[in-house]
Amino acid sequence: MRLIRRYGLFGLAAAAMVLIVVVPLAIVVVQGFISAQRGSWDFTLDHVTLVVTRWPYWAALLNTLAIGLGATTFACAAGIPMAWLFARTNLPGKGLLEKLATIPIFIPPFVGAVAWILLAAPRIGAFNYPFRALMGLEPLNVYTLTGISWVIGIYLAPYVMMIVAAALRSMDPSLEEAAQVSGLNRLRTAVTVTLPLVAPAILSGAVLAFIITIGLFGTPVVIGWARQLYFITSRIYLASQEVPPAFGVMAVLAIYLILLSLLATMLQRWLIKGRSFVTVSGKGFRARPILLGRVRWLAAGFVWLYCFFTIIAPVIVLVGAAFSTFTWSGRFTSENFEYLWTSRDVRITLQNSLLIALIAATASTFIGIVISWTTQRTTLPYRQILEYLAVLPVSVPGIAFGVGVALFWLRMPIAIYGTIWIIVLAFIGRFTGYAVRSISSSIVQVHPELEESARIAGYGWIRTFIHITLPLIRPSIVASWMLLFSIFITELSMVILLYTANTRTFSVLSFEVWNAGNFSQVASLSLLQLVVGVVVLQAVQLLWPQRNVHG
Amino acid sequence: MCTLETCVKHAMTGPVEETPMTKHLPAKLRAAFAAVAVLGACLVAAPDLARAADPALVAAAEKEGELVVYGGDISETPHQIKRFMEVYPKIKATFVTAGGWQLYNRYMSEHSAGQAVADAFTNVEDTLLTLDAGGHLAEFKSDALKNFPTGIQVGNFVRTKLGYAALVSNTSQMKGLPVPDDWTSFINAPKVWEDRVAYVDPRGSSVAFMVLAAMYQTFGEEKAKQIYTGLKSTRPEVSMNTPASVTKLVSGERPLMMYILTNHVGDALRKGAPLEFTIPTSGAVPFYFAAGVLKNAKHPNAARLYLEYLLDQGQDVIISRGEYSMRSNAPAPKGLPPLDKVKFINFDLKKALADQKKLIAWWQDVTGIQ
Repeated sequence: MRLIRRYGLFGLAAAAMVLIVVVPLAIVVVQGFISAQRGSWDFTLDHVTLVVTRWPYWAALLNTLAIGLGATTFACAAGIPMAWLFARTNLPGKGLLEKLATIPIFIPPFVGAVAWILLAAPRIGAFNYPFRALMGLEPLNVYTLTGISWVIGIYLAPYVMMIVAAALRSMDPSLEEAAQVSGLNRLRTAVTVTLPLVAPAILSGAVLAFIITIGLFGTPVVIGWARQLYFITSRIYLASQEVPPAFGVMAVLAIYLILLSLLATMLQRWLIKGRSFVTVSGKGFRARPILLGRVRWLAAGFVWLYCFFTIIAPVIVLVGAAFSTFTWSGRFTSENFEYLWTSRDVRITLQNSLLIALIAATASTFIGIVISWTTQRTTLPYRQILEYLAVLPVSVPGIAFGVGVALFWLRMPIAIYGTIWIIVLAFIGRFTGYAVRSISSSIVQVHPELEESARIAGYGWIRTFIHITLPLIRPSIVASWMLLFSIFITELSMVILLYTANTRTFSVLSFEVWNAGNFSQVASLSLLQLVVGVVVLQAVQLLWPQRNVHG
Repeated sequence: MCTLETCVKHAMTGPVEETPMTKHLPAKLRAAFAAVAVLGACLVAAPDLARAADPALVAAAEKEGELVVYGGDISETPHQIKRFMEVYPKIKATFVTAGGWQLYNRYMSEHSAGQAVADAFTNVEDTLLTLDAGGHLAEFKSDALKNFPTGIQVGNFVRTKLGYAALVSNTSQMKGLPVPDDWTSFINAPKVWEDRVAYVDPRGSSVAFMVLAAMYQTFGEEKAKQIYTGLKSTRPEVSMNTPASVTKLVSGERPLMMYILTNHVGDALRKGAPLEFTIPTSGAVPFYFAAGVLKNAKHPNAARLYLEYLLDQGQDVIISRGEYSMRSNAPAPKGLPPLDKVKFINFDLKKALADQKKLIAWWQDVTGIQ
């Protein structure tokens, strides 16, 4: 009984992770080494040989690495300074700016890509117009590795920003104050004190940006395909188009991405190994803002510029497109907006999306809390396994993980295929790792002495967690839930394989309409998706206001 | 009131100029033209013919209460389902749309796991031919078919509309510049076409593959190679699907498309897009959309009723969307020529499907796209 009590929750969590993570992944991986011909399954290295010996697959790997690093650089370059500005400084209008800077996560990646084609493509790109008119040049070209990295990176910056800002808000500012008292200026304080203290969060954000990028399907396909820039996910998509689908090649390519993800995670662990990042101790604190002086207007300009590139300009393009009969037609109509409230498809798919995203984000965050706490706060042997299991599928491309989930549940006697639950389980399986990363980095910052004091005062571990730990890590929990909700409400690459006629989601509808070539209608759908995202964001922030520094 | 014989005669001796190419059209294609003409002529004479489905079938379908359609015609399927539910409000119809072969793969995965959810399948007939050859389609018989010539039914599926692929340009972007008038125009592509041309990747698009196969079968390997090499010299955009190219065509980003489909151009023209649709002098590449009832459908009566609907009220939807209905008496879609003015090239779909892998590999070799 004692063993059951001790390992009960751990065992339950492990069993659940095996079912929703390991089995689908194993199915995908095994496909890479079997040949299923004439009803028998034989071991083979043919798929591996094919992928390893052909240049196009190496080119896809190199392209994937290039945009992975490029997009991560752009995401961190925008996300880290914004997090610091929002959490630590007296940036003018920061309440509004932070909300604005979070909005891009509600723009589906492929819609952002299409919007940026209209902004920075040769011949029609709006940003190229003035250069062409004045100098006869077209300096911007979105159809390059840099262009793709830029488009992905700027839309991933809010993820980095949210994770780092949550860590900054949980941090005791007395260390910064001590540094300033010792004579360090604001910049040196930020670089030499603040940044190292939130290094786990920064690394979490960077690794997250990297692995989202390498597993991304929509943007690389929408922009890259046109210029024969193929990535691993494009190759997986191509293999899935074959009749029958080339599951072996898809699996080997998925293994590439798993290995890249593991490498990134190991690098992250190696970098923070043996260092303490405890910044929340028993001592209470009230954070005071860092006064930026006149530089604050420049800083605000930086954030506004970011918002211009990610929201204002794309939204202008989307509004223009939504009111047009077709792109750049100069003929206007309101029928694309009327479609939003008259269409049964819009109503049903929006209901499905909201239901799936709410359930999956809540469940993933809950599981993320359990795993993070178990890993960081218990002495159970092998507890790290849970974290590894959760993080493992994060970089597996949705299309590959979706194949594993579909193949598994299709063959199960439980009637999950064809219901929203298969999508919910797939989301939980693939994305709980995000919650674990975000929440773990926050728990690491909470000194165990706080919980120990509560235990000494007679609290059980559940009460200790609810009354002590939970309030301290709440910013990262809220950030994690919002991050997951935003991903789920726009996710496409997995849903596209798992939905059936009764479980179409809003992003599936947008993709169908885009596939039908009706970009004006896609634009109106995207604007609705944005509004829904903003409303949810606002509701969450009203319910659980974030701890901001006063200033 | 016309007779079948007079209608066929009219179709076969109509204003289509006999050229070496059309003269050697396969019998099937000739029969199809005749079928379209017969259908149209008969419907002119008897417009209310077969307007009501068999009441027993309607009752059985309503008892099933549901219908799931896998529709490869991404732009039309939602409109057809919406109209179907207006006609039969007691049946809850839902659908999945995607590329034809994606839908085929999805259906095969579900079928092999015993969890098939689709009742009816509609797409360009390449997938229907494959489904039928694999024994996945249920026999379909309908009283409505007697009003259509035999070319409408192929095996266990029915053709629901005709389309074809031809050349297209954006007139506002190509003002004063040469535009192609034939597939072979790309052999010596002028310099000004550089970075202006788009076409579609035949690995992901049924119709792009059909165009590729049509080029290969019609012009022979060497000339087809010259066409694709010439295309390559224009630094073309190779899109993953046709609508992606159409979006760029109408916006002017890529003002020349090697081909566009009538079901896409009709909608764009209806909205006033500045497009010039050109039937290549060698002929357009024809294709049919088709529909079939899946053998293991959970709602077989609803699926049959849907096919009946497609042959009836569904044709009105096709016309209203600016496409060629199987009723050829209907006026040609705005901006498109009447069918009897369109010249088609010789094309054997079954042979193309048999050679699919070889043709794709050949295209990759010629274009260098891997």
